[in-house]
Amino acid sequence: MSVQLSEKALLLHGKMSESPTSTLFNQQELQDLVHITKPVELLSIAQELINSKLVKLVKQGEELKFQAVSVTEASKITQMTDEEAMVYSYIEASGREGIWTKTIKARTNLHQHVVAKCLKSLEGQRYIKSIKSVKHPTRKIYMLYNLQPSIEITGGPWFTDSELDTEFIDSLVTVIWRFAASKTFPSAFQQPTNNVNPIQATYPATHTGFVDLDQIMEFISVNKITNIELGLNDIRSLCDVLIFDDKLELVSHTTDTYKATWQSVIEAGFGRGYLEQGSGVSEATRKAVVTSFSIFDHYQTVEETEDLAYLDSWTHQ
Amino acid sequence: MDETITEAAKTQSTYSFLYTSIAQTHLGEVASCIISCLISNGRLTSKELSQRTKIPLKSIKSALVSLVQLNCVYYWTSKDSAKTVHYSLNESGLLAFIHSGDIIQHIKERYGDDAAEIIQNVLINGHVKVEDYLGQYEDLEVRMEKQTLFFKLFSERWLVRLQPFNFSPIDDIWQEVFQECLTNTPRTTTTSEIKRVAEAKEKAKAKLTTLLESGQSPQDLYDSKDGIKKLQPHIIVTFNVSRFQKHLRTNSLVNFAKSRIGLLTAKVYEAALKVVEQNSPELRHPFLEISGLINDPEEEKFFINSIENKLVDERKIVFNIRDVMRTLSDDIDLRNSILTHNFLKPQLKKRPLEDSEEEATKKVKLENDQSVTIKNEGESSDVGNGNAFTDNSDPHSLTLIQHHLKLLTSGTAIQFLNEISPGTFSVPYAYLTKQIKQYNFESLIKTTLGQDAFRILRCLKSMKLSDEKTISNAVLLKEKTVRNEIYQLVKANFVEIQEVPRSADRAASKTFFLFRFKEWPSNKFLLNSLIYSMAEIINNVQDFKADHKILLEKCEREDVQGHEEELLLESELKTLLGLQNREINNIGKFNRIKTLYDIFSL
Repeated sequence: MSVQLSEKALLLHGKMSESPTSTLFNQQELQDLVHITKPVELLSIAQELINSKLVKLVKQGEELKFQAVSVTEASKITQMTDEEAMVYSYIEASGREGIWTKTIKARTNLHQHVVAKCLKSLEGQRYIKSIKSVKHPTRKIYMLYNLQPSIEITGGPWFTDSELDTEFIDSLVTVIWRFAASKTFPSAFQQPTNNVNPIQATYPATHTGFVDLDQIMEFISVNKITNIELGLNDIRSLCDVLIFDDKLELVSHTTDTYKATWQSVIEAGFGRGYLEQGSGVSEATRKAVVTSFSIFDHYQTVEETEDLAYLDSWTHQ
Repeated sequence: MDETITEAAKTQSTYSFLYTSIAQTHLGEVASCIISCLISNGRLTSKELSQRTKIPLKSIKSALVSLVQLNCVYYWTSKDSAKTVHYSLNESGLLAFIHSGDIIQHIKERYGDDAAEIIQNVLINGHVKVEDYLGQYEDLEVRMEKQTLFFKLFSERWLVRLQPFNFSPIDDIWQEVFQECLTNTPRTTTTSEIKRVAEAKEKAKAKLTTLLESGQSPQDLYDSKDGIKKLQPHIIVTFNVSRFQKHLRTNSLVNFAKSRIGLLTAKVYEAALKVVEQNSPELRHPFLEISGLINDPEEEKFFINSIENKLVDERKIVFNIRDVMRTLSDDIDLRNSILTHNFLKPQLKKRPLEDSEEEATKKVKLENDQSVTIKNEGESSDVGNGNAFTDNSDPHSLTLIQHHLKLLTSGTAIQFLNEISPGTFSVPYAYLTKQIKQYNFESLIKTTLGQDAFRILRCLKSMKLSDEKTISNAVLLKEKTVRNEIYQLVKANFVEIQEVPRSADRAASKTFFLFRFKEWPSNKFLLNSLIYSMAEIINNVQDFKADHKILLEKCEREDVQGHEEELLLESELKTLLGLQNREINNIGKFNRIKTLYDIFSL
């Protein structure tokens, strides 16, 4: 350290550092720490510490408070130029939210070039880092190097490198659907057995064993499907997506209890075993259950190449 | 056909395009010109028709006779001294043409070939007098057979009596009845004019209903001489298109249940719907066809619901489990279709004493695939004897049917049935019509615009009014994807944009946009698109047939018919086969679109 500190100042700093890092002290508390009765005495010690950047002044309400700064941190700041220190202090104050370069410029009243230079040198020394915000993808935002960006900045579990991770979402959604579907139509995913009707086997209307959010959550954590932490709300938004996809529906008169829709099972290629030969369904029954075309059978249609009819041909005539 | 008329028919409305195309293929050019002209101009006299179509009056008149005969044109004789006759379009005949193949096929499946023959003849002739039709059979026995069939088709309302007022447009009949009631309602100083008109309207409604229902009493219709009930020989019958539309509605509802719950439940539902199909509410009540009678959408909804409630009160669309049991096809096996506790714990079925031992061995068995089959064999012997909660011994047991009916009432988010009292159910037609349209609409979006558009549309529906950002947060798709898909939806006219200006000058840079979905216009728009596509397919078939006109004409020649293989070149036979397949493909396509058209015209 370039400046030698007086004993008392060292003592005060040491005592302040004993409390948790972000503790704020008022004047009286400081006096108590080093057993000084006269404010004037404290003033000189505090000034000494402030000069060597070992104490920060923080204004809380109307009151002026003091906060201890670690020795390494202080040495970092003392090595910086004044401008750098100023820029650094703003970035530090912004915490996990980060700060936009334009805001830095406005607050510090420095010229853009100067700010840019400071940021470059700070970044080079790995004191700060630039992050991408989901909300404002074009802004250049800085925060301290050792901090994790907040959820507002990263966008929560669905974002990887501030891009919506659709692959991750899709796989989770599929897993949840499969889990819910197996709880709704257990027989559709199994080899046909003798105690199950091959054409349809449904739980009765009074059945209550469908999945709810907690079960889905447990399923995901027990099977270690992802290492990203998900909250109940995240699972709920995944279930909402599945509802939009018409793959799940809410069980009526419940909250957060879901069952898979039969259409989704059919479209996924299950529950059609009866159409195959040797599924234990007689030819007569098979004939009796085959009905006229409906749009819900679209998975059975074959794509044609000739004489196509377009839905929008009327609008484009 | 005149080039300008074709263009006009195609562009003025999709209905016009479809009807004229149908008329052209089934009835010929003159008929199609007349129909196109009637659609574009409203009602016309034969002279006006001749002037506008530039077709000689004589051929117009002879065409009109067949069109009236086939229920494609209404006529109305004005009451003034000139007694001019006005002609206007009657859709029911044309609808019968569109559905004709399906109608005959359905009757064939349900009543056999002979009934189908009768229906086919009635369709070809438009309407027939019962005695004229039966008179052609000289053999008494055959005649009796046909008579019974006639009676059966009539009593199940596939055939209906045709009376003079059926040839007149309902609007004109209404006007006449209404004016008469209005003049008969005296003006008094104490009642206001509005009240007087309303009173006259009520009277006229009652009168019109009586008129429409007249001539339908058993004495008018049936002759029970010699103890055999038969149709009065002098009445004239025609095919009841609206009865067939009811059947189509049943079909679509069954398909809907199949998609939401499952095939067997759908079959139970079909059996239930068949019980009440004949009495189910008309797709379009005549009052709704009269312009200016029921204008307000709320009033219309109320009116439709009141019809349905009346039918429920009269127990016309109400059925119980036993009715379903009777109508359910024997080929349907409901056994084991409901998963009760037995499915979850198959051991329960075994003798209780052996339970613990059974369970222990089972666990070992499950780890080995081969042993599992042994386990199944062991179980199969038990299938018959014991399901503690559901009777699985009879493929049509009461409890099983009841379970399926319960699934229809409360198994999914959609209420296919209402249980009005334990064991008795009614069908909420008006509600289901709305639901089925919604689901089909969405499925159509899924199959044409893709999964993402489907997700976004359903999200938008649940949010009512929303912007891009909120949607993309809810559907967990990239904003760019959302924007693209919404653009597609807007372009296809399914989603509306609402502009929210944020500055006084409505600067585009500051404005932001919200999106919403409106059901009614979207359905209507979709219906039009479907109709247009149907018409296009018909024209397409005509076009490629015209491309091979020479070859086709050659086949029609008398000396070639029956000797095609000898007289035609191999390449020509190949082209013929290709043409035939192409036509079949296109007709298939036409019918697939028709199933959607049936749903959206409900």
